[in-house]
Amino acid sequence: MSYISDQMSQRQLASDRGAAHAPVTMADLERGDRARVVSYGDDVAASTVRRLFDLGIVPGAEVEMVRRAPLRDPVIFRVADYEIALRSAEARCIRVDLAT
Amino acid sequence: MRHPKAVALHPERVAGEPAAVRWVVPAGIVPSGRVVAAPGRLGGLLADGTLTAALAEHAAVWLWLRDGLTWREHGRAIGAALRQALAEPRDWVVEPAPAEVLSRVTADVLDGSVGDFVASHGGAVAVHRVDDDVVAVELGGACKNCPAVDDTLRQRLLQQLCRRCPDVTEVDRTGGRLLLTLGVRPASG
Amino acid sequence: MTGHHHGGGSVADTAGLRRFAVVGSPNSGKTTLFNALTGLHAKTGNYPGVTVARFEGTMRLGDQTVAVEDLPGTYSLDPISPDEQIVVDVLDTKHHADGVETPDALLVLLDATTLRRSLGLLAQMLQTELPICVVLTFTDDLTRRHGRLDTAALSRALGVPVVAVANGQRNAVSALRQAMSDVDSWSSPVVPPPTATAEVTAWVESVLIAADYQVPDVDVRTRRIDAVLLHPVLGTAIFVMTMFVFFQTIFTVAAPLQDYVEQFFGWLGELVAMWVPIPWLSAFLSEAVIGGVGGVLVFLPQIMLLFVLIALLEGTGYMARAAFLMDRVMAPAGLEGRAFVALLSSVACAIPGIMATRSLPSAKDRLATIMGVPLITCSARLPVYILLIGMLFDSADRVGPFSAQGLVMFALYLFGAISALTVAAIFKRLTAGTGPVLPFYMEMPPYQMPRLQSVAAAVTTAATAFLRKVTSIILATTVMLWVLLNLPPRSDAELAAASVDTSDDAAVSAFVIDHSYAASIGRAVEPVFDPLGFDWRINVGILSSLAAREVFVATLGQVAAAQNPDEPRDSLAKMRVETGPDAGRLLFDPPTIAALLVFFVYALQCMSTVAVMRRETGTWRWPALAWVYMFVVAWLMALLAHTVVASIR
Repeated sequence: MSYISDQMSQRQLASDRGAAHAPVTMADLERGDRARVVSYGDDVAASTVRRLFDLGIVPGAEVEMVRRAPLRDPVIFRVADYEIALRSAEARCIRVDLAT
Repeated sequence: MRHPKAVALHPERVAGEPAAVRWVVPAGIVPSGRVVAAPGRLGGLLADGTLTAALAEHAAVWLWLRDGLTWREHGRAIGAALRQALAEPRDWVVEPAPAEVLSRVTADVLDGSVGDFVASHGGAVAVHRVDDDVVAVELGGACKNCPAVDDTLRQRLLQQLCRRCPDVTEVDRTGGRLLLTLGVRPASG
Repeated sequence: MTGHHHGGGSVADTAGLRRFAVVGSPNSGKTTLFNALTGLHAKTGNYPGVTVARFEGTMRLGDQTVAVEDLPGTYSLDPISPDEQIVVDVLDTKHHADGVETPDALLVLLDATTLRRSLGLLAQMLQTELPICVVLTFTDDLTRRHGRLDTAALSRALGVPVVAVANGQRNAVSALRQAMSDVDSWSSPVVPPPTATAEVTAWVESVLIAADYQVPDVDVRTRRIDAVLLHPVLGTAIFVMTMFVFFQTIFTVAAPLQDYVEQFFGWLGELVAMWVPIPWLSAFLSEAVIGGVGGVLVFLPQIMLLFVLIALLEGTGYMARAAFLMDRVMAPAGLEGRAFVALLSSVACAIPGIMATRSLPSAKDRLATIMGVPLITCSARLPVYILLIGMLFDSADRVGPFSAQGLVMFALYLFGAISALTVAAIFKRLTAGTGPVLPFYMEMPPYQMPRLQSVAAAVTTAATAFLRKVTSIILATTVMLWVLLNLPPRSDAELAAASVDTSDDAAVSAFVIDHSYAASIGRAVEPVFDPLGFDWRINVGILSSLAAREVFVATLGQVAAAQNPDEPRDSLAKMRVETGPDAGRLLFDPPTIAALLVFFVYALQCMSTVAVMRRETGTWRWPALAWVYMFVVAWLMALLAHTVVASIR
């Protein structure tokens, strides 16, 4: 691995240890809901968290649930000015704040 | 938001001054003028002479690095120090220096799109400080015969300057169409 | 990915030339730009040791020639897939693998409509300390959607040159070409951007404010179209219809084109027969060479049409929607929606299906899908199915309201699809547990009008690659088979001794084939195929079909010594087993036909597929494994079919 990817792989992204029980995640959003990304789940693999960050799903970013697939999964979200499809498994990794 | 957001800033080069970097920061976070002291590591860098000077604009902080040091080596650390210091704006000690700020800002603005515009039409523009409070911008070259000077150029210039220096104003209109005499409006109140 | 060229195996000879690398996230317009810069002077290959395609080309800048490499699309220099690892390796000045050189300058493509995300990638690229020029794409979309950006201010804020290109048209890249001619003048940031996450986000925000960035509105057109195409009911219905039209078009539209190609080769064969005096040479040319090449070229209209359709579907952005709709269906097999697109492409031919697996970010998914793809019923199986089903059922036979023939055909297609998914699932499971689980995410790009130039480029270069690579194998194999079927040559005396009428060409050729080397081989492998009800004649057909499935029909025709080799059905239906305990039984009885059909469902009888598998996986290991396991499964399943059908009667 190069120096740069070494650096990148050591990036830290905080999770919320002191969060409220049963936090709201992106997987809980309904069609048209807007929310702000707060943090990432506790048990999520660090590589997944860094990838979500690099996809623009960063703390403070605004997300909007656009639509679900006919079989309920995956789900299309609008975040960082573009649309991305995530499966519920990944969406559950991202904690959001619905109050806007 | 549970996590305090990091202060949004980025560095820009200053034409003709390799020792200087203009750090663009959120507007109005610190008052304009000569920075005498700052909190944290930034203050330390100023005190020990690593940074020879610091000047605050409305939405930027200019930093000058000591001779012999390069921004390439020290830029990251200085940027981090600046970011940290900006989180405590009340601990900054800034001496008002309206003309110095204004002349730097004007020179910088003219280095950008306005200057490109003037140069592309064969014009010339020069900035010089008249005294502690006044800065003069002189237009020459093809500008002498250009009808656009009155509206387009002067307006543009003032507009751009206003963005960067909200208190700028024309203090003297007697210099003729090719001379823009600028000063800083005294603080309201 | 279909915008790319699938040309020769080796990468362009670019030693000593100044190198530019084009980097950016997927969907940022890289392919279009790369094509615009290198024109048709691009070659493809593989990066050493991995299954990642490599695209490299050259272009002229004034009086200089420079090399341009299109690195795989990536979202980050924190790699999660082999494609992204390649980008990291290429940009690493300390990484030295054979033939992988660090570029001299980078062209970083940023989509102007998704700048907030794209700048994160640029921040990472700026850590490489290579000269960088930012290329802004989709600036026209930005304006159309009421977005705004001051490129000069952006350049100032970033500290690097910024060039805007619109639509990758030839004249639109002139500003970029100018910039590329003067790399030494490129500015670099006075201080590189931060790497820590919160700081980078803050840096991006600061830069966007300085560049006066106005976020574009949501693409209304895309929203409206998606409301229909991704509607749970309507969207699914449209999708099913699209798939149906897809299949139908390939078969019905390609058929007349295929006929023309067949006719042309038939005519060519006749020409040879007329003009080439030496009989064996004439036979060789017309049967082996022209017949062999003709057999391959008959595919060409279908392949080209398929590539056009796929390029259109992908160029508009619909493929991402198809993958989205099918993702849940693919999940039980351990695969994702994009694998469906690859499997779909295999219906006409496994080769484009295998190449379509390049869209899968996971190397494991790619391999698993490649192993499953050959089981999808491809167009080459159709002539065989039609021949055999015709012997099993009459066209008038009915099962309930359905035609018996149609039902069997449908069952074979279904069988193929289910088998493909099962095999892919098994391979996915076998390779699981090595490395972290890849999170699933798929960008849904806005709909666009597919660029005619891109579609044309995709089709022509894919077609040339197909021809070049595949014809060599098919030609070699058919020549070899022809030789085996026609040697040893029999003299008139021998023929007379065996009471063969030397004036009857069909009878002569039947005798020669009967006693040819191929026949000996066919008889030698009888122990293997006996339980399936095959005899040496079917064996020869099977062996010849290893080159290409359709060859089975033609070979059987030769072997059956039919008066009309184009309608072998009649004489085949009357064939009887000659020797052994089963002597006298009808050769093509239902259990044998069932066994044959099932054998063709599973066996890997396509050297071209093997060749492409080899190229895509970079090794002989996987195609060899595929060939062996498919042969074993084919044999077992054929035995099962034989036993089941025999017990019914």
